[in-house]
Amino acid sequence: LNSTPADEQRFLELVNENGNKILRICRVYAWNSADQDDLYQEITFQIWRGLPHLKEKQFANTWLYRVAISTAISFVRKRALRSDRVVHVEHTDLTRIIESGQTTEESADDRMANLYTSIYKLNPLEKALITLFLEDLTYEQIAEATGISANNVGVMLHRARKKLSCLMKEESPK
Amino acid sequence: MNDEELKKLWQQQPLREPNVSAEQLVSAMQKKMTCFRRALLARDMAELLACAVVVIAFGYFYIFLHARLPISRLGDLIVIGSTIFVAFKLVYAHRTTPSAPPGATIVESLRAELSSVRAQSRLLGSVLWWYILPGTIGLVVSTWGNLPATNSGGLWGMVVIDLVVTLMIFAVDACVYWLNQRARSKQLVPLEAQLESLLHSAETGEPLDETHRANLRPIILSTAAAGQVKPAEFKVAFWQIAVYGVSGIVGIWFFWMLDRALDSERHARMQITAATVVTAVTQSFHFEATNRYSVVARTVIELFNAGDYGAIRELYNANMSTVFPPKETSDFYTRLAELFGKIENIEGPTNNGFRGWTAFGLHCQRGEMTMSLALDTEDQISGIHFQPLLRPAPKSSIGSVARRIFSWRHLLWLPLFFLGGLLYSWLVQTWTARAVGISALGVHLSKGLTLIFWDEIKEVRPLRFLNVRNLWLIKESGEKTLMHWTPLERHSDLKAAVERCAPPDHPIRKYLSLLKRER
Repeated sequence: LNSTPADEQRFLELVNENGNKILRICRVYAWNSADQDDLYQEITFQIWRGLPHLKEKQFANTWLYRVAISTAISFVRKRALRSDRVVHVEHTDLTRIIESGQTTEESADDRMANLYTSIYKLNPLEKALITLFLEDLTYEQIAEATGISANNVGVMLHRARKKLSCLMKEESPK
Repeated sequence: MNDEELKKLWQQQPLREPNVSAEQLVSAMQKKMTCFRRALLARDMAELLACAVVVIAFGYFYIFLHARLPISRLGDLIVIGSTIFVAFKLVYAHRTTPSAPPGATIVESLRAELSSVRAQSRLLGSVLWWYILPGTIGLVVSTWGNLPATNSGGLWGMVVIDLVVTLMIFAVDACVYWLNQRARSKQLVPLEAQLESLLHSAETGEPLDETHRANLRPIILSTAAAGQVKPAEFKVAFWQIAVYGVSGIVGIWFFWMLDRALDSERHARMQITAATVVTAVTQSFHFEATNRYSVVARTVIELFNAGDYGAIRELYNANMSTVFPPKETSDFYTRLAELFGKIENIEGPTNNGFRGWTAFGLHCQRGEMTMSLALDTEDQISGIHFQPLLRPAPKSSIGSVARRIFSWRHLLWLPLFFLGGLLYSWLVQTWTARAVGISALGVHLSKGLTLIFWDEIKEVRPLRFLNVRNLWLIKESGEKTLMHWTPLERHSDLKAAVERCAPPDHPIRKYLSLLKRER
């Protein structure tokens, strides 16, 4: 399992080329910068672990999304599991937090903040599908990255987009 | 915004560039890989280490405390066997439900995670049968198995002690069971349902079950709140933990030494019998006139009362002298003298002694016993056996037990236990860092992962335990959450944070006076 110089080179190329994609995924699944940094490190580590086993280089792009999204979903769940009880809140509470807490530095743009706030209210699968859709992947590529059949991707993505659109409309007057 | 505009907005968003060089990144990955491998190893090792500690402890009891009855020692074996089984079961469960490899799809990851959560849930659900019960059976057998060896005088005392020990074992078991079931119902069952729902949705394309979506929102809230709100955070004060931590660990020392002191007394009594059994092997049977026995018996008693144990050994024949070297003989009679004191009167002889030997009744300062003698043709002792008739009088036992507990050998352990208590307290304090956070939103618990809003708290009630007062935060639904209060450090800062952040008429304000003023 020790990495070779060739593996290291390949890893650096992949991370450098796709750094922004990874950062965007981190922002979807973790809002505060400390969590984003942790998640970024976790995703790059999973890439490091898995890269020696990736045989077909032409699929590296889809593979990277697959690693990033799976790691992010698992990361959020593990973080939540560390808390021994959950806080049951309604949308209004979340809105109050967002209003009182102000947006993060990167979300200064209102539309961007609106988009993130809306994505944040989606469930993990919808988040994954919307993220990959916004990354401009085709249905087939999304299906390959998520393991969901192409037909189901179409159905679920349609529903997620509709929901996102509603949420963005709800958020936009603010 | 249409789809294209949305995609453009998304892909052109400004991002923080991670400020790391290629070398730093590779080095960080290599370090993380090493940590990852160590963590995998440590997970199994922790369980095997815990298993090893129990096996060594009960192995020690089994091998070295052989003065106990076989059934009691069987209990040790049951504990050892059940511990090995527990370690095997945990390691096996880890190995058979690995996490998905990097590069697995979401569906594959969900499946692997669900499989792991189900395995954990099953383990916790059946914890009574594979974790608690076998060990408990072993402990109970080990505790009660020695009862038949207790003489009638001390029987009820031993029954009470065994009963207390058994109740303590059951109490610990009940606590372990409750904690496991609570963890299962609060964490694993909802997580299992959530994963099942996600997997079902991914596989069929059906919308996610609404009931599980509700479970996802708090995660969002906690993460969002953690990023945007900076609560004033407090940990539990070290001295508060140390008062109980050090007392507890030193208490363990005390009871351990008490057990050793009582055990050494029991052990000494058992050895009286053990020694004579070996003696019996070396004796040769010669029944002569009883006056021969009376002469030798009186000589033994005079020498015993004079404390001249070496001279008693000179009365032994060659076989006896070989089996009982001078030190062992001296130790044996010293223990006998400690337990029974001087022999004040002698009765006999009779011919109903140990194995039909000639027997004498001995009245001692602290009890009675029968001494059975066997002599060879040259009137040398070829067998001697002491059988206590009464338990040593308890009059002197309290003082002697106290002296034994606080003997210098036992006191040598005390500083170590004290330091152990301090170390334990320090570890607990480290774990309780960020125990409570106070912000404008509410009270943050569980290292900031749980948040209770100020307006959710309808009632606050103190819970007192000795000098420690915690607060119950009670919601309208009746749901109660315990929050540290007086054990927290920096009382003046805590007061200031609550006064600054809590609404003016909030019930928590009533309890500010419980916080001590700091100099």
